[in-house]
Amino acid sequence: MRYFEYVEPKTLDEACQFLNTYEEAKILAGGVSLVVLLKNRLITPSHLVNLKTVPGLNKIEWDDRAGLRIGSLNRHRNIIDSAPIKKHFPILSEAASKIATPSIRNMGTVGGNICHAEPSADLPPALMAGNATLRAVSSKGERKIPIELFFTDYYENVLNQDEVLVEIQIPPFPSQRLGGTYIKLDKVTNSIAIVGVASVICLDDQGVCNFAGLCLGGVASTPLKVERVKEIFLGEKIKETHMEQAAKEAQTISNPLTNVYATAEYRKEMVYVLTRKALQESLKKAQAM
Amino acid sequence: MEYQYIGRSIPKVDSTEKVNGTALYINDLSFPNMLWGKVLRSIYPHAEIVRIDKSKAERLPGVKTIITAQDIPDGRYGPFIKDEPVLARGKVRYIGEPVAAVAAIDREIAEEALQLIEVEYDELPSVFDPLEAMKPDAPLIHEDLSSYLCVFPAIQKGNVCSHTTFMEGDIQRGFKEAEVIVEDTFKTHMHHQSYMEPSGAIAKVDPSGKIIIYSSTQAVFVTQSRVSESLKIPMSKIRVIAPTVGGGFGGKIETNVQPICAALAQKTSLPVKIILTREEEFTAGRPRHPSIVWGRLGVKKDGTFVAKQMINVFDTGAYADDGPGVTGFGSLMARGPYRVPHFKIEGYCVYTNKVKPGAFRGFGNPQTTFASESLIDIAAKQLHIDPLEIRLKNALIPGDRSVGGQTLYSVGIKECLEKAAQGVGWKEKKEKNRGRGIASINHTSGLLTVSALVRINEDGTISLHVGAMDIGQGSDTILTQIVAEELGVPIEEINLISRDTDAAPYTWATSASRLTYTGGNAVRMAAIDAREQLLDLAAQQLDENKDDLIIKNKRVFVKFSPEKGLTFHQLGAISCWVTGGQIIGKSSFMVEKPAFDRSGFSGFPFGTMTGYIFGAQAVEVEVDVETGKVKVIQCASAHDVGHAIHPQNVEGQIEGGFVQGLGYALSEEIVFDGGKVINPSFADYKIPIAPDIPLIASIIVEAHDETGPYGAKGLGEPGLVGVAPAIANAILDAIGIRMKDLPITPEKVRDALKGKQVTIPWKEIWMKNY
Amino acid sequence: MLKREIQLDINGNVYSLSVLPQRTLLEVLREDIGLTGTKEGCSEGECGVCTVLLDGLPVRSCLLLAIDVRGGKIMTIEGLSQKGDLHPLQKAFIEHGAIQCGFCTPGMILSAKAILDQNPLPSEEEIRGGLSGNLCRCTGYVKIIKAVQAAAQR
Repeated sequence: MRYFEYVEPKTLDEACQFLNTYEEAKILAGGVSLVVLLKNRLITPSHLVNLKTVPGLNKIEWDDRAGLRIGSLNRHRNIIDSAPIKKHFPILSEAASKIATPSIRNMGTVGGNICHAEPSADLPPALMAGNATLRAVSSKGERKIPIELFFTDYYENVLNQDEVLVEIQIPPFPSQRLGGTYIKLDKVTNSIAIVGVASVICLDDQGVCNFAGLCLGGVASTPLKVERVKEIFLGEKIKETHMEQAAKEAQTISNPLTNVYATAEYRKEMVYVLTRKALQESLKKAQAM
Repeated sequence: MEYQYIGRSIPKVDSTEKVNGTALYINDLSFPNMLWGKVLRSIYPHAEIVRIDKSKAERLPGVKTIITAQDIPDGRYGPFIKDEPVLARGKVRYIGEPVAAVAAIDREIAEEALQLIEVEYDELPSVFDPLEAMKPDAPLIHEDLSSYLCVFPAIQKGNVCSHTTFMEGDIQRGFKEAEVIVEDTFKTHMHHQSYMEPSGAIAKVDPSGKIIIYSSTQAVFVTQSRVSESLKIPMSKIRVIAPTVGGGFGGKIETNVQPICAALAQKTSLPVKIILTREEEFTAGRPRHPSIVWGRLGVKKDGTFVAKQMINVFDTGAYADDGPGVTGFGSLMARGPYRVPHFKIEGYCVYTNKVKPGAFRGFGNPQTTFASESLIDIAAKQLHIDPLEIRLKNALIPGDRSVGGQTLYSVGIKECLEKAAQGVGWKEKKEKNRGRGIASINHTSGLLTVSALVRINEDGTISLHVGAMDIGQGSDTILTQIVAEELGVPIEEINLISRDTDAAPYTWATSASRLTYTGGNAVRMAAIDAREQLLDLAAQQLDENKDDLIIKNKRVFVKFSPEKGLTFHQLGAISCWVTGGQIIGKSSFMVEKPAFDRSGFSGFPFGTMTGYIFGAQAVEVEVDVETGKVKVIQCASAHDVGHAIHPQNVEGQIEGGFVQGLGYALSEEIVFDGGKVINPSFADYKIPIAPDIPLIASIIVEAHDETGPYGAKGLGEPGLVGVAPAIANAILDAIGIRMKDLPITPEKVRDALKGKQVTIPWKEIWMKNY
Repeated sequence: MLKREIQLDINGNVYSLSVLPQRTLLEVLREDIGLTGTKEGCSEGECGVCTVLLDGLPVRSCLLLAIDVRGGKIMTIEGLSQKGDLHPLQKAFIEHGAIQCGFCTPGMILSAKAILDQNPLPSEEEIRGGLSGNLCRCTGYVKIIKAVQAAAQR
């Protein structure tokens, strides 16, 4: 690695100030993506700002007004084990449990997973399917960014140099009958997603859909939200034909690349296969609640 | 026979240091004033080197020396054809070829220095496909091929550096007699050993000018030889020592950085360490030869094999390395463990501008067996004969002959087939999209030489000197067991000296599944020699007849007057101090008999091979027809090892071989873009992990081999050889699709289900060009 | 280039060191402290031979900056045996033939310890999952899984 300076801010303010002052500074969270980039010299920051020395960024709270609020420094392991998440948005636990390996899950953070902006990452599709909002803070104030507006390209997001992602918020769902599934096509168990599909379905007491979220990973330059699923599902008692339609839509809007893992054609085919599967499973789960 | 140690799975002699972290591997060693070495590698697949300017790099503080081919003797090395330089001379032939090397005071400076070395290349046309490389107008990769020293009479032409043929009977007649003929073309890929410990070495020059090399290697004597011939240093001035080695599977037999390390150490007079990065392992190591195999099998309606013809094209990359051996051995094994009266099997070893493959568990056999065993199932399907039955019908039995006419007495193939099939419930009902497949294996375990010395120490404990190396497969343990058995001495009282060219007598490599059979024979004979000398000395000292003496509990005594005897301790002391001199049992064992009848051979680079081993692997797979993913639900791997000296070790080889074979069959592949490896990392080259492996039923079959120690034969390699064809045959059974192109990825299965399969236009290319 | 003074608690011993920020825990363990039981296999967190336990949980020491440990308790393979007595996992690995070349063994045993510390009687699936981050090329994992099951029974 090239030499860098290292600072340990005591407060969020201090962290933002460091980021402001040192234009080439990077945030050190879990380090699992960052340190690999440093070792390969793909990035050569002047400073590393260790966000973990700022207290209060790893809470997980739920209330029936704001929904789930997840601090960005929560390790994937915390996400997997968290009782509020398992109760109110279990698909996120499911997605986190499929990240890489136990060691990476002990080290990596949800904030890091999001900000690294790797289109095959496992958490963004789940968060996007749940309509998550991201809260970012800088010396100039704070802003809330809907997650579907957060990613701009491979490894690129809308955060400014001096902004820190501090919290992810998932608003409450319209009813308790919630079913969510994250399916990932991997080469060996839990290796990087060749195609990832996250689906969230919510049903009212009559079994009519009152929330639908569908998001794909690994098939475009960013995680991809399938907006039309709302049109197809909302207000309906979901049947096979609806799910097929949604799967076809997902396939149509996906724009995957060919790389060493798979061709674009195969990925596009699998979008259809996995989306149908994910939707079927989500529906079953919601119906069972 | 009741044995005290043989057949028992005792705790391995090297386990404790491995579980408590005290075992020392090459990267754990360091010396005072040690420098770090790094290698600058070619970025073109085929190019003239116009100019190398190292001046900027030399001025970087902390850099001690930089060498190119101009700074070292013009020696070339290679196990069969001496075509490989230590550093590229004149031109480069693959992306990754060493062009220069730096020694600096630390890793970072060495890496920075690499960036400062300027190399000007003049690109040449390159060729990446072996069939293209065989065409008469293909770019010539080794213009001076005929001038290279060759250890065997190689048949060469253009980019073909070796052509081996095996013939028996008359294939024209054979195919006429056949009632059904099947034929097809198969393709296999480049596969990396992926041992967990990256290769590396430390070289230093001692005050007398002798070079000492510590090396992560499977073969200290091969390292010594390659450094000697490439740097033109006599072997008496080179000592090679291997610390604990973290796996090899064939990839650490030939040298990777040792000659470079030695040259840097000579230039600086300081110790120099080089450890390959994982990326260098993938781009500049010695992976498995890719192959294209065309085969044709003629059978009678009742399933009897009549005639076989195969052409095996092996892609040996930029340098021959073990290519001629892989080509020759893979072709030798290609008849399979069957009676086939008429066959002609040819292997071509072809240069291309890619990283040079080398030895890897199976050594050509996995490639040809994939084709052979697939062809058998194609025939079986056409004839509506059960794939197990057709194999049993044609399988060798004791008294049959190998290719090359050796009579085989220890032949357990039928038992292996039956037990493997049983292990997966061959006859049971199958669910949808599930299928079962089986494949037979033949291999050898007797090759070249091992020598051993067994010394009785002054206090009656034992020193065993043998050049055989344990790289994890357990040879240290079983060779110690053999000495313990012959001398009745407990394991703890045997001192094994092995990984040192100064301290152990000559052995070829830990390779070719040979240490149990070849090494075991040598060690056993040396132990018996020592024992005879002990008895002679005791007879003399006790004034008794040698035939009246027995050995028990480290004491030699008169059978019918047991109070009359001498302990090993006493005899050791007497030999060292009083009479006779130290007792040294010795054996120099060379595999020479039975020789091949070479009348049907041409271009085969080995002498004789013996210790035939057999196996059969059966799997049940489930195919997810939506994603194309293939899962092995259950599997049974049965191997005839003659006699299992350490059954737990044997299982370990079976299981490890199987999982490696699983990776070979389904998920692992070194992927190229032209001549560039595009997935040189574990992130993108996926080997099997714990959640994904089936629980393997390891079945040990024992068809006692009289020529082996206690009836034992070897096993290091066969565990991998039959997995890919067994899986391909199971997929055929499950969904009716024949997969002919490894690895069998989900995408290929999906394509095949849609009717799209890669076909190699074999006939067109072959007829047109050769 | 500014070195930092840090303290690392390794196997119950506290080491005071002066390190550059970019030194990884793996480098510091192996090169500065001389604990070579933790290995380097790929340098990018994929193979698992660099696994150590940080506050009881397995982490990739090749991806952890030494300065970022900040008071966590580290256990390496050298810290597993107590006063020369092998830990039940180490004994089980030996008994069940779960070691061949040994290079993956330290990381594998520590990951296994973390599994058993969290769940004394894990299912086979849980064992496989807990070991999913440790590559082994020699054994095929079969005997490793059996060794962990045997150690759990103790």
